[in-house]
Amino acid sequence: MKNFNHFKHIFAIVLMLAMLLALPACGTSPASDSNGPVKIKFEMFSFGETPDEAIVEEALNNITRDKIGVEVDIEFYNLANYEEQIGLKMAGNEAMDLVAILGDTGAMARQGELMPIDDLLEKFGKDIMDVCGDLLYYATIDGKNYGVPFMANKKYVATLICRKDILDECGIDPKSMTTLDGVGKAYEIVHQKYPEMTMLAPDGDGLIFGYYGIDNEHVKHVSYLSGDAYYLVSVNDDPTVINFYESESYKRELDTMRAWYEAGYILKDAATTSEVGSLSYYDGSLFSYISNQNCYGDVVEPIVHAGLSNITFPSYAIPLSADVVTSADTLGVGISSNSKNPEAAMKWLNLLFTDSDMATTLYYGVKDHHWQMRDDGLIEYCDGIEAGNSGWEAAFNWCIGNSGASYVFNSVSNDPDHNKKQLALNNSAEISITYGFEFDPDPVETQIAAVSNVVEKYAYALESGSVDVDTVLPQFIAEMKAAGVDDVVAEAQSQLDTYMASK
Amino acid sequence: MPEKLNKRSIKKNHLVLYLLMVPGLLYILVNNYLPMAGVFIAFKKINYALGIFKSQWVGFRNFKFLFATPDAWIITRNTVVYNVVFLIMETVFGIAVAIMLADMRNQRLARFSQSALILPDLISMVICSYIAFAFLSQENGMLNNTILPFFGLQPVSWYAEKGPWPVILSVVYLWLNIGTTAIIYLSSIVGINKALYESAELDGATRWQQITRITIPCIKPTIVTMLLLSTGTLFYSNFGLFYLIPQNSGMIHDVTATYDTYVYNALMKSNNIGMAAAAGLFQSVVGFILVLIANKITAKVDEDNALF
Amino acid sequence: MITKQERRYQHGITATIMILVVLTLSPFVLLLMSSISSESSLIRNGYQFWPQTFSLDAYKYILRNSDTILKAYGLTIATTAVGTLMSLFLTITLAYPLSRKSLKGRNVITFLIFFTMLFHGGVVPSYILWARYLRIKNTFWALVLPNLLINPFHLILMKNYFEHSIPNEIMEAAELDGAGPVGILSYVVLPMGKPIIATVAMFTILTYWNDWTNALYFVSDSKLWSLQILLQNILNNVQFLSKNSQVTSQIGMSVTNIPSVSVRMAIAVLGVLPILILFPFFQKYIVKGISLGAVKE
Repeated sequence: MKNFNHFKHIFAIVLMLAMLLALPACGTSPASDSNGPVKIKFEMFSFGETPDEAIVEEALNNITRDKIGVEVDIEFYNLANYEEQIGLKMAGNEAMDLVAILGDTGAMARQGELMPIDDLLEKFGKDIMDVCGDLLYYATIDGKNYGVPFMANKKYVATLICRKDILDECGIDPKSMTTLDGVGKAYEIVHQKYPEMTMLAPDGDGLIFGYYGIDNEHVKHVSYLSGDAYYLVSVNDDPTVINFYESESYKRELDTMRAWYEAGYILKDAATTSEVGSLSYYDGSLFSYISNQNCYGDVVEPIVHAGLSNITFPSYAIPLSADVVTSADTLGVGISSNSKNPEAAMKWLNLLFTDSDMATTLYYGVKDHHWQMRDDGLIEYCDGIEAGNSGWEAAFNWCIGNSGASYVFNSVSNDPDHNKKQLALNNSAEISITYGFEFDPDPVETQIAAVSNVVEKYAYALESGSVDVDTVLPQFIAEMKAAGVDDVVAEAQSQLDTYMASK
Repeated sequence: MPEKLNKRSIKKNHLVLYLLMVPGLLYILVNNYLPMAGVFIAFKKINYALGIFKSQWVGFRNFKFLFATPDAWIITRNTVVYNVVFLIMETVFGIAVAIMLADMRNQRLARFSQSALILPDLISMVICSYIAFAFLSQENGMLNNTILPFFGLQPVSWYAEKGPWPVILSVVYLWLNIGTTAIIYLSSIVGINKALYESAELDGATRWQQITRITIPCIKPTIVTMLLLSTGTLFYSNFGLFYLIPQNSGMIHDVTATYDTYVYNALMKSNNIGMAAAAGLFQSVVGFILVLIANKITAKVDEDNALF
Repeated sequence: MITKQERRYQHGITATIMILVVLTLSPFVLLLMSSISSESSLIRNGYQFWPQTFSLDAYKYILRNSDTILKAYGLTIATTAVGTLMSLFLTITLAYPLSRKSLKGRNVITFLIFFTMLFHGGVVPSYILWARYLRIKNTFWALVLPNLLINPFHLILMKNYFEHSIPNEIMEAAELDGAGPVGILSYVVLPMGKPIIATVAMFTILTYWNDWTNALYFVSDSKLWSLQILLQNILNNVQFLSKNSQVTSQIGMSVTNIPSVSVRMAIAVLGVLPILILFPFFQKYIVKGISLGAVKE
């Protein structure tokens, strides 16, 4: 029958296709050139588009090939799935060398994804050790170091960004707003004058004040001890582990938020909105929001908006919490545990910490193509290149290497040494006594999981001020205890004690 | 006499049938069964430096967090009850819509409607949650600002009130699924021999009688299959529906928390693939047992329509 | 002669279906309208059915690199077409033999296939299999082969349809005429099975069109990105940038440069467009039930 043959042919073709599947496709294995420069791979997350990857890599390699005989091949993964992708690559034992760390070095190290780098630092990372100083040992497990932190101004301060023009108009002195009470009084005045305007809304992750602890009249330092259980803190340099949610400080913050919510200062949807406060702020419908700008001491400064023509009003950045340099959840870079070229990787990283051309190229693109030097020592984007669409929207400048090594954009500051000065401020920051402590969640992972669930249930509602604190907070605490949070605190305490004793 | 139907050609026909199945079975073997070995991840603490095979065995430890929560009863109840309710609604409305589409005189309109009804399948749940927020937001939401005032009602703080949510979630669920369910039933209805209807009409049967005496019995196999398959997923919930749509609002947690939202919230910060695998395995096993039971019951009552 | 009852029935179902269609489509209208609203009006007023101010900024932002998006569209259409055809082939060749009661081992095989609906090894073993052993990373097949080629649910639906909705008498008649299984497949099952085949085809098209996990796990070369993963990345990036103003300020960029709220909507619209246009063509097959008339008795 005609049709049968016809069918048989299709059948055969598809079977052949099925066979083709089994054949290795174009799996490329990197050519190992024993005489040429060593090629390393750099796994990195991105949040922008990088069509110019090839020319930037070429420019980088031109610098590094001659100086240290190393070339780099960068692989990008989208930010949202980065950790999962690295996990998969490790499971598949794929070649990697440098691995960007998205915040929890300890977790990656404990899962066996990173290799200890103390020896490598001694041999090939002298410059890194110089620049970082004491801050280098931010993630030590059993005395071994697993990552190189990102060097920039590391003082993360909860900052209130608010409208300078309105403050001036109402005759409010911004320096009076460095406490919660002061902010509340300011809101009262502004709200009377502008009843249609919302005073405060969440920015970023949906929490109004995030994890920063803005009760700064009573709390000078808050030190975060764990990326997994971020409510574990030590306060005011006391090496006692506290569950932040059970503290007096937290209750005070909640009471303030509740009062503000009831007075109508806070966005009604604060607990559930996915809209971002900063957008409303720049659109003019929000008076202020809390962010974690790198603020410089307790000086209240107008924000530099140079070069940003579409912002129509000036703003203040008012610090609301004590500054502290904390080590949990720090960005940085490590070397993968299955790396075949760890020495080359360390050499490359070391050069990045000091070579300005290399650093600026990695951060912003190719010299004289994306950016160019000016006479005053600053840099600017070349003609036709605009920030946000330059062709090299990589995240390196925000988390890898040494910001002090890079040139400074004219839109950020007028001082070519701006970045270096920023870095120097780290020395004046009070480094918490727990810096370098890495909490191992394994013994209490069950409880941590159960507690996480409780936190998700209550935190947004409480912190947005939309529920009554006196009835809900006790429920929150009770459920946390039922989920085993006391075990977590006890375990953290015993680990911290061991760590402090060993210092 | 059908000499062609001798023993040899029957055997040959059987062989051809098996041969036809080879590519498909090969794919299922490779794609589904080979990786199933990975189920053991649920019983290990994975360390990549050691590799998956050499990582430490931890027995049932990864499963503990599923039971250690004070919310265990709530999430179980929610997951199961919502699924049962959804299943009943989906079946009843799905069949109703399918019948309506089949009976419509204007078939062009019917075709257009079919396309329209499955469109929700195309939107990601994240976008759905934005749309839901557009209706339910306190500041700008359409319900509070436009629709409720139109009926003279007070605005409601939707994300804080537990009561409306079973209804809201059911509506969203139907919106997402009514199209595909209706089309599945529709394709069965369309296959029914028209002669049956013609003779029924000649006998003076009303529409309702035709539906209950002809349509429903003829699509019974499909209904039973759909119900049986759904028992297997009784312990699964649509994550986007229960997490994203309520915007993870804590105040309505008791009516929107399900097994999947719990696992997500619990493991979000830790990236522990062993525990995640354990959570998935638990769901699979429970669903499997349920299907076996349901299938056994079906086999006794209506042997033809059991799954296997 | 249309009876009054019949007319009322018709009006009733037309009205009901129309209401359902309006309710189903209105969120899409909302989506479309929001995507062409100005960012500012979205921030102030939320999503509206009629924009306060019109603006195409969102589309302009996404389509800055328009050839990337066009390539992604092309690639996804190709992937969907190839994937759907291969999937239909595999599903039909599995469903038909399983629908024959005389096939030995039929229940066991059906059970084994159904088992895969509930139990999976997870992402990690699947990744190791496809990426490491079968080496499909960064090839076209990476978008087509993993996970999507056979959907057990569709398979069981099709098997059922073949078993119950295609009259046995017709198949027996063909057998008596000397047709082997393949002949029955081509002459009887395929024509009479059009409704279920078209339904499964439609669902498979949707599956391939919507899928972004294959591209996520198996494609690192941006030239091979499917439309969904591209849009997903843009969405993630925009959300990240808008939530982390200190990052953008470091490069002198303002969060206000990105129309992030309207961009989300525009992304959703772009992801849906071709399907909206193509689908009406498929409906023909489903509605026009093939009735071969009475079986010759």
